[in-house]
Amino acid sequence: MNFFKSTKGKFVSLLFLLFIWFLISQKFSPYILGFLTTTLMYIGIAQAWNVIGLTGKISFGHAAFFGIGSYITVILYLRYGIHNLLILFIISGLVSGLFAVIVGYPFLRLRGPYFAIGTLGLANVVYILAIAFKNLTNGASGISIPISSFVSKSPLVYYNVILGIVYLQILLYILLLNSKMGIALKTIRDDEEAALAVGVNTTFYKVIAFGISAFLTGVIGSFYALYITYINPMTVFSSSISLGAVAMSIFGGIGTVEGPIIGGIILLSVSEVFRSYMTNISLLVYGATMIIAMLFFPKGIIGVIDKMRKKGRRNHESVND
Amino acid sequence: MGISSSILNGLLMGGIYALMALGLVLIYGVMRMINLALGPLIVLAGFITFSLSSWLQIDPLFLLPLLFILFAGLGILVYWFLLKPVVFAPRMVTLILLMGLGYVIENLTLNIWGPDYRSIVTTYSSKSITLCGISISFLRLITFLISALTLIVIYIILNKTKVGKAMRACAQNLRGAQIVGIDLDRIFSLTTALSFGIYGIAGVVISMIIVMYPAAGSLFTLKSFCINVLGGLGSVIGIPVASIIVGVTESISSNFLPVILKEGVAFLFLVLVLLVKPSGLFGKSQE
Repeated sequence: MNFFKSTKGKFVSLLFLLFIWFLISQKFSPYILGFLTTTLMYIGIAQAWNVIGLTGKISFGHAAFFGIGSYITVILYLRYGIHNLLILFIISGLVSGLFAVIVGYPFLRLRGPYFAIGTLGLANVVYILAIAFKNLTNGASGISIPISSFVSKSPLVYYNVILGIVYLQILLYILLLNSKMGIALKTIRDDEEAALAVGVNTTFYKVIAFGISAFLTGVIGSFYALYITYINPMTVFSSSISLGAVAMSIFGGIGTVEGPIIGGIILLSVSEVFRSYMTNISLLVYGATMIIAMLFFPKGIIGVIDKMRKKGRRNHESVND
Repeated sequence: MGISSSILNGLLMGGIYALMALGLVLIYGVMRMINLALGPLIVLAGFITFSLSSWLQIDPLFLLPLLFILFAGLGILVYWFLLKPVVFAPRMVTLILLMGLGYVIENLTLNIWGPDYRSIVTTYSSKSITLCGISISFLRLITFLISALTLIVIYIILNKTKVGKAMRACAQNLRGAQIVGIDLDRIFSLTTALSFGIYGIAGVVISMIIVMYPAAGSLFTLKSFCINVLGGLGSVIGIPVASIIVGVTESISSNFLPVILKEGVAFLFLVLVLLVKPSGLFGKSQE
């Protein structure tokens, strides 16, 4: 059993599970593949959000990084003729990450609520700038990628690409949790002043974590632009992206590997089931999730399971006594 | 627009911003919660005003008392069902909860009224009066006066009435207030009611001069938060000053920048204040 609890064990079991899932999902219908692609994108954003979430900072503005990733991809694709997927992903991610490092430096010194609202404002400002700088972004009417090399590919190709990205992200997150940096981030979450006192360079770790988080979000944004082939400020800076990341991580459990995955699958399934009844139902689902989670299970589903497990263990022990 | 006329317009807009921001400071001061649901609440109030005034064929100004009562009632419900269980929880918990509430309200507004832009047209919408050689919109003047009047009434409530004094006591020292026998539930629910009532009024006023759409809420939320931080979070005096600064700067900047960029002015102030003097213009405590 210990093997499965170690980092190596988690890696191996995850690799195995993914391979099985990969084989099964190759036969899915295009509708299901489309839904799964969206779900994976959101899981990816939530997982990326979770990197900075590990420090206990709540960002309400991850749509900014998502949108920057999308726009960089489209601009690179159209203006500079870069059609290589890997290069597009990496450059878009890097620009997003760099942006996050620059704005993160002043922002991350702020206490929780200020940081949360600061990032909310950031997303709004980037959105406004995207509308205002018409010659780069084509303003509110958006830009589209000519339907040529990417769209002709089947939904399955997109699905496999995003599956790969999210899989790498999850591996990265497991590595992060067990690294020196992960421990530093958790210490910052538990008590920032104490972390500072024992010599943790809190600003450095927070800024780097924010950068990684934005890099990963930017990569997903880049994928989105290539997948949908049309972006405008309203969709790529939409609050449902920022909110989705928050709600999914909170629902599952902030700072856990499984949290965003569970949260993403459940919340998006609920939205999908009720989609025909209301416009933009996902916002309602995210909002309601945030309310209910804060009232009844602030540590998320994983927190509830942990509590039950602990209680079960305690009962077991008392029986043995 | 000339510079003097844009300053005056900004001043009038500042009055309305002060009204939005005041609802935030009440809840923050007394209950230590940042109400991120305020924007969607204002938009909801605006849409209700729009529907009622076109249905009843009356001037939106007559709806002010009704909206105040309606939203105060909503505030009491929100307090007892949502906020009471988390009153003493960490601030991030209430922040996330209220953010969630905001998006639930925004989505309901969207589903009831649809995504279209709405504006209220009254008989005096296009009238303007000339003051010291500057022509200003009659509507803006009226909405400014309503905002100013509401602000004054709130200041009187806070300073002269027993309930207001109890609210201030809670703001100064929660434990102390509890010890001297202030019923916290009563004060908290009244504070929420008062602040939601202000959003009701703000909704009427704003829907008369700004085109409303369901997703406009987050900008209102952000602006009132920026104004609060600029004035010093929790400081009642700072609000009118900060609102006027933001209003005038927005108005002047829209003279030589693309109009949409003016929405970012408040945020620029937020960043500057947080970098230079995080306690704001009139704030005492270091955050």
